[in-house]
Amino acid sequence: MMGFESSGGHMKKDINQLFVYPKSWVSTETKEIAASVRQWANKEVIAKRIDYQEDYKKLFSEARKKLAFDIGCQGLMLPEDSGGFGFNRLTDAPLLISILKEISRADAGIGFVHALEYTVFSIFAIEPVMNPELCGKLAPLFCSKTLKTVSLILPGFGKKGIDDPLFEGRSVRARIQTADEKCMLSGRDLRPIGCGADAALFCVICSDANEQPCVALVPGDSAGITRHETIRKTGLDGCDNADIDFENVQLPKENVITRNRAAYELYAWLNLLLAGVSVGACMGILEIVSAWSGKRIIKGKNLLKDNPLCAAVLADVYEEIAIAWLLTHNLANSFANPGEWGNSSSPLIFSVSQMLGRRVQESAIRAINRTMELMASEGYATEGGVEKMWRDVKTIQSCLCGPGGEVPTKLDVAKCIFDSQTI
Amino acid sequence: MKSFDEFSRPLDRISPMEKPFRAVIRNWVEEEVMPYRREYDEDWKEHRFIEPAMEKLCVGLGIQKCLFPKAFGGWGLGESDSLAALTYALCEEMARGDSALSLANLASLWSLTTFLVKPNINRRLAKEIAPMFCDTDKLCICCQAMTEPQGGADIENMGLLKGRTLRTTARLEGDVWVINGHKLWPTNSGGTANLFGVPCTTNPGSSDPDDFAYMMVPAHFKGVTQSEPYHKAGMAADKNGEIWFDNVRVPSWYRIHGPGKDADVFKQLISFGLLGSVGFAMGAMINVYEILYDFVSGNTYANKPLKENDAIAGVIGRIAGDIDISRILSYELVRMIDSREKPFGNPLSSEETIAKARNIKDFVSDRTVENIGKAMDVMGVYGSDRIMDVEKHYRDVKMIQLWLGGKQLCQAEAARYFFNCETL
Repeated sequence: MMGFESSGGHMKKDINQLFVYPKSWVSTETKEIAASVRQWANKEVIAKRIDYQEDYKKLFSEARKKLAFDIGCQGLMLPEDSGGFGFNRLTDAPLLISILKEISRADAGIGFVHALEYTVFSIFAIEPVMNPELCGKLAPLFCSKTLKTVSLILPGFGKKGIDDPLFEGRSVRARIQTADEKCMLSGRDLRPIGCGADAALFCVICSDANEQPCVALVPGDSAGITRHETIRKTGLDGCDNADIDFENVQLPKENVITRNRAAYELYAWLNLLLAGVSVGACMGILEIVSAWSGKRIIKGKNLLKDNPLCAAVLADVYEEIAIAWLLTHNLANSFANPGEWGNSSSPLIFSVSQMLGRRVQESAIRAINRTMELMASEGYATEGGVEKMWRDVKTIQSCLCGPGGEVPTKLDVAKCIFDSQTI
Repeated sequence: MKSFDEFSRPLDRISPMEKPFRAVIRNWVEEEVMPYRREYDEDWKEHRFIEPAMEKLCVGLGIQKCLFPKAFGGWGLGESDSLAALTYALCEEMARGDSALSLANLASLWSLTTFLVKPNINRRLAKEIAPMFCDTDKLCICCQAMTEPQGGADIENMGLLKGRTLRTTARLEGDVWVINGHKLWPTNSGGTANLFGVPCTTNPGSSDPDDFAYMMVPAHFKGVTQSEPYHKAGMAADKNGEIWFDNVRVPSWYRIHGPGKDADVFKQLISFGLLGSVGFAMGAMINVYEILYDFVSGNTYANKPLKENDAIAGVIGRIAGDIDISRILSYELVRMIDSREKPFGNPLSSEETIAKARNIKDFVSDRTVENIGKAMDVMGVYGSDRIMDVEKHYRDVKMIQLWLGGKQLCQAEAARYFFNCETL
């Protein structure tokens, strides 16, 4: 029976051997790159967990730099001729989630930052939709030796009494107007999915004059951008977010992507990549609870993990993670093989990505919740390392929830699978 | 429904004191808690915002003396037939503002119930301790110091282990008990407590109830040391740390009762703790309902208020429905505790009361964690905003689910009772 032999959070056995999934979905190259990221995780974060928590903002930034530049995660997905590492094929989807898992095993906050980045890059840098002009313009921002973040603004809540253009029921509150070769972007009190306070690039789903969705890429130093106060939130402490106003922000026409269903691609990629992040956080949780349950005594004499009730809870934790793992890799595999189910803009992949993404987040939350139930106060205390992952994954789940939680995703599925109309 | 006051309550059995009592506490919450609670998380160590609110409640409104007999300057609530009803109302109203504040207050009273609540009033000890809480204009806090490094659930698991795992010892030397031990995690530690209630053993390793002892130990006595508080995911108004008792000498009459009775009264403590737990959970859920109500009324999906979409209505309807059911169960627990000396009631230390109380707490805390999480989801990207005040409740209520032995002990005791298990 394979077991954990952990020491200070390190596992002597590869955690990848504990989860059953088709190994053919993950290439040798992917495994090698993931192993490098794991070394970074073990050395830069996990080995110094207590210090990392106490001086979080500073050490978060330092750890990110090593990952971004020494390993190359910041430019990973950008084309080689734009200065990146060229992992910009659809077949690289399993690689991306494998990397995000390894990053997030150490810190889901860092994983989140990269997941947002890769989501935004998916819209202009990934084949077959790769746009050389945009890559040439935007890639240098991310291939320099300066840490950068991106921010994503999706349709969401509307306000009572105001009729907005809609994207599958969600209000699109950013508007783009085109005149000659210039576009102007406007929108107030827009809530980004993360990193709005310091993003170098915003990716905004907006509506055009015909109320059709399009995607605007907005450099963070553009005139007319106002960032409101940094938002205090449940988790993702290193990722500063803020509400954004765009007041007639001028953009060149090539920065506005109008191809059919581009907005749908963003949802699909975001759900896939954040699934990778939350599964990674769960890997970290599994290591912690395994080490803890191997030492904890209950009823005065028995190891906790040898008590049937507690063992059943541990099994629940593993089960939720195993299912989430399998779903995430399955989704990545479908992205890598668009000939089978359609590409990321297809109605089926759009719906299924959201559905599976939601399910993975739910499984992750359940796994962490059950872990905390077992660990009780040690799970709740900062120094246990569990509560941060709990807060981070819950914040990620919130980001993915549309207006009304799971409902928009369910209605998208109903429309796709059951041809529901007028919902 | 016009307001959250209309969530179900057994109106035929409500104490006439409950309405004015709730009004006073609600007013305190609106004035002293709501304007400042967003700062509580960062205030976990200093309590610059938290302590003034506690002082207004405990000293200004007199809550810290409520259990003491009137003869000693208290309110006499320990002798009331409606103690559980009023305790529950207090916990729920306070937790609507902040469940950790509610916890800190209730936990201070909790340990005092061991010798201030009928039929277990120890008048000598009450008279001795009363001036600390009643004849003062200073905040006085008590801490029930139960958990030890090897575990807390085991100490509470009196049904099976009967105190066998306790390592904090009490040794009688003439007219003095000498206490030695190490406790961690109790509410109101981390330098807060003025007085400790300490479960200990007079015979380590023994499962004889006569060897279980419960001592009151003033924090300023020689040999008592407290650590700095731990940093946690939430519950900032509750300081938790470690306490060391190093040959602490207390008068022999600081043992609350005596051999056998101490163990019985300690089991009763569990029921009170479970009552407080459901009160905190309910208060948090009720506040989340208030916030969610406004949110789903003012924000839209498909250009209609969220609450007018059938599918979203299904989700929020379930949240409100669970709150209502949980409140009905909470009042059933109130009834069980307040009927403890009635012909149709059961002693608080009875297997039936403890098992059913644990069951109710397990059920209500599970629904609370689940539904506040769902409320955050309904609010989407705003659900995790501190300024919406829901995520704070989410972080706080998780602790309710974890304490007092957590889920596993609740499940085990329910199985023991309902299925007459013999070896669990």
